[in-house]
Amino acid sequence: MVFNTGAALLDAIVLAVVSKEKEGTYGYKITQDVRQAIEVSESTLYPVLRRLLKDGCLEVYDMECGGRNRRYYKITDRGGAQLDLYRTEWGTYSSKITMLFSGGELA
Amino acid sequence: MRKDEFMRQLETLLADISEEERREALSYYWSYFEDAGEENEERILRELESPDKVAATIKADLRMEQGKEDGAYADNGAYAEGGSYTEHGYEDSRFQDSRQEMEVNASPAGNREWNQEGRGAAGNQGWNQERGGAAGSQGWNRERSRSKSDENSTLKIILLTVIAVLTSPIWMSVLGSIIGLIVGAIGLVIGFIGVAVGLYVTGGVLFGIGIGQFVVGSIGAGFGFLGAAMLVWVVAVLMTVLCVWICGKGVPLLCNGVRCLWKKIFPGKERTV
Repeated sequence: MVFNTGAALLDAIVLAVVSKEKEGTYGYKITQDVRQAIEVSESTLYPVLRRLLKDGCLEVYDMECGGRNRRYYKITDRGGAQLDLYRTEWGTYSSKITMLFSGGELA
Repeated sequence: MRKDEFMRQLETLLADISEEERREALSYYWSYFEDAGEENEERILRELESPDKVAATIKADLRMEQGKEDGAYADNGAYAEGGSYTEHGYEDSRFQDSRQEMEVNASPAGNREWNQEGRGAAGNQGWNQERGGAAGSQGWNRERSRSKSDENSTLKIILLTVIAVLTSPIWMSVLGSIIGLIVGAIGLVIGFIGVAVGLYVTGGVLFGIGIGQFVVGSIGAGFGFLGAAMLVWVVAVLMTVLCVWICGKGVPLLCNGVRCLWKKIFPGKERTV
């Protein structure tokens, strides 16, 4: 991909992916889901998840699955609010750029 | 490299971060491998590239956070806007060209001049300075901070020498025992081989006498000698098998044992080479 994904956009994508799962989702699945949209290496998401957790945008709980504990990430209210903010910002940002690319006039 | 080896190396590389962070990171990657399943293990190992890279990613993030906490001027919640995540991991072109310059700029005072990109927007001021605080750690693309290790290496050498001299009675005796064990084992193997050869020869001689008895002596005595020859040969073959086993299994086992012992005495040392 020619466009780099900034940290804020990556946060937004991860929050969006996690928010889709009401019961929460786990590291490997998050990575695979994020990869449907953008190219990230397998090692990229651990720091992102860790920080979102520290910032209170995500919460974790452990659930037994196949004889071992699996850590599930779930979005918090704060994370939800942050995601809404990102969505709005992205809407403005992307529509402006799309407009520019398609040769239209900026409002 | 298999995932166990990968995880072992990662654990070693993360030895200098806090216990909690290390546990979290290791458990994340363990689960990651397990959730991916064995069929994906190869692919994930390839994409993770190396334990060094994963450890560097984790540490860069921790140091960035540390930089943020140290710098009280960080006034917004944003972070790391200067760099970006790509398919190659975390990249920040500003830090890749001259790491030396970066480290000079790592002091808060240096940041003010250096912070040019963020001048326009007041909100951006914060993150550029934050990044400055963490700048010293951004060189992880080159695996390790070279100048930092230069500072410490002299001290380390002195310290290691003192420790080596103080503990010499212990490690000298341990080393002596190990060498003794190895030499003993080699002697034992040579002894076994000698016995095996001797038995083959004895068997051959008995066989010859047996044949001779058939010609000039009694048939009964001939059979007796042949039987004895067979028995001796059986023992010889058993000795041969034992020798092969010792060479094939015992020697690597011994080497492994020595290596394990070495690692216990000097944990993590092998990776600095």
